[in-house]
Amino acid sequence: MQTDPEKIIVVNNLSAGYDENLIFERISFAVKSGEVFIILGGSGCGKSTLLKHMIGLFKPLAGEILIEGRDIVQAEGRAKLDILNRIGVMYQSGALFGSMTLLENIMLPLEEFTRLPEAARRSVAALKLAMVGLGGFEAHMPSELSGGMQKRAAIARAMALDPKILFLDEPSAGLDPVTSAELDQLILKLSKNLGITFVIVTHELDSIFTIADRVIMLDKKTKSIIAEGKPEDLKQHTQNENVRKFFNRQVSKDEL
Amino acid sequence: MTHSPITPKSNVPPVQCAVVENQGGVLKLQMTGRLSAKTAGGVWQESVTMLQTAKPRELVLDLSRLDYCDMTGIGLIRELKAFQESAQAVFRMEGLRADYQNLFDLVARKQAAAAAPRKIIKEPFVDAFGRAVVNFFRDLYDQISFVGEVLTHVGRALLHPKSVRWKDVWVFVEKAGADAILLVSMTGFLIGVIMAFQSALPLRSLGSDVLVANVVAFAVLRELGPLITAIILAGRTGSAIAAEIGTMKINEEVNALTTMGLEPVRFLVVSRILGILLLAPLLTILCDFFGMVGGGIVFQSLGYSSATYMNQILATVTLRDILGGIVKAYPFGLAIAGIGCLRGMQTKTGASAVGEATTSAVVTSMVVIIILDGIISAIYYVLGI
Repeated sequence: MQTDPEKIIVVNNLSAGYDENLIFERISFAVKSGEVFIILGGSGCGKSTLLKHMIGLFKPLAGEILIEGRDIVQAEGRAKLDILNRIGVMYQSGALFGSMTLLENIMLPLEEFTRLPEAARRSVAALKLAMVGLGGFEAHMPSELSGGMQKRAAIARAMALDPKILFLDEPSAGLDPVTSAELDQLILKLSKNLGITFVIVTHELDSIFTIADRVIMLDKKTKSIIAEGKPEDLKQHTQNENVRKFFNRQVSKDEL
Repeated sequence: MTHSPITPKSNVPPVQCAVVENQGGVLKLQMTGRLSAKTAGGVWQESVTMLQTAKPRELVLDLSRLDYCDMTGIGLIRELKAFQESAQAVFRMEGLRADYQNLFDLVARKQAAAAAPRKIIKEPFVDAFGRAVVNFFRDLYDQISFVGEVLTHVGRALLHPKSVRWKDVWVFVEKAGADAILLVSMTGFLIGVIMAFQSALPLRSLGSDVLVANVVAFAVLRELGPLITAIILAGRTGSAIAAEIGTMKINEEVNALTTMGLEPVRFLVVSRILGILLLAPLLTILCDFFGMVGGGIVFQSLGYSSATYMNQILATVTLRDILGGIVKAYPFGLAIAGIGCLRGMQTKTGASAVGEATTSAVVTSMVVIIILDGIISAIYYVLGI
């Protein structure tokens, strides 16, 4: 087991797949505390699948995923709950509960896992909404918000219990460039001011260069990680053709 | 030299395909105008037919007078080329504009690079059978473990009532109950009327139409009240539960609950099951009441007083009959909510998934209700209830 306190998440020899189809095989990497870590890759290479393994939704075929030193793969019951309470997840669609107002959405985890009195829960939830720029929208239903606002609200809910780590699944999917850039600024702000570690799945190049400290790139063909490092370094110095093509938005001639 | 123009039948800007030369096994076709997806239909059909009948040794396609050609047009040219090649005959084209020639080459390259169509290997019977058996048992395992999980959580909820989200239970009862009241009352009333009319004639022929009251009371209180209520609940509430949870599943809300550390079963299922356990007996009583009222109205129209109706009922129906009917509402309700939740949780992805989950919830609930009713009737018979 890794004991480096710098490494808040350690993935060791992880293999995953659906039925008999292997998606990735024996991949290993680590996420450092406080960094914005991005998982890249083309469509269908298993980015979201990897994320869902890291948050304990899926069981891998083999390997371990240590979150703050504890393996979420093996954890059950109370132990798993402890890990889950220390992470927050924003899903691609936002996944806000449609039958509750924004404030109720954020109050839910507080209600279940803290002993805060009702009034305190309200004010904490309102504070989280204000943090993501949605102060004043407490009584709105999720369906009354635009896509970008729903994602910000989802980040607020993911932060309800003040987790150390936030996982975001394609935060800029379906957003216009301006809204997407605003979301990037929000992520940077949260990362800098609160020291939250971000693990983000995306393939938006602009976002990557703006927010990422480090990226890994998954590859569908080799079912493995083909690049790891700072995005600028990868863009300039990579030897791997697929990585270079990705960063330069290129398609090879015979694909035209 | 023969000239026989082929023109498309529509009135869009025309493309013409004329036979310029047809002798000595050499067929020369000239295409004029705009060859596009809109105009190519008639020409395509006729030029292919012409090739099939003429079977030329050499086909020369003069495309110098083509004003426009799109991907469909290129498709036609390639089709004619392929026909000639498969007949081991010669194909030549002349005068294709450079840009269209590029398009033609690109299409040719892309088609050559395309992977051969995947062969669908038919699974041997033994494999298919084995897979089906495994899937059946996997499904059964899922259902049994779901039932176990639900019962554990409901049991825990009953032991620790404080852990239940009573607000959710109340919202569910309020919504599902208010929606069902009118339907259950009306159906109950009509069932009472129908039972009374149906039994009146045969009983009158026996000279004992006063017994209509007994027939209505027994049928409605012991059997039809709980059964009709359950069927209405399965159709309205069971389907709504499956659709709601199914939609939450598709929107990743169920995943969100899981990663928040909130068990979806405790959160979504328990409140609905407790809600329906409160609701089903009340609705059954309502259905019973309106059934008796309906029967009573018909009874009066047969010339008896309401006092006679009450006397007949009180003389024959015991508390056991009434309670025996109401008690059935519990297993029925449990089955409806449980199956609705299970199907909702099993919702897969895709646009049709919620619809499938809903249909499956209603169908399974109906079947299970009838089976349960049969089992309960047998138990009542043995116990003498």
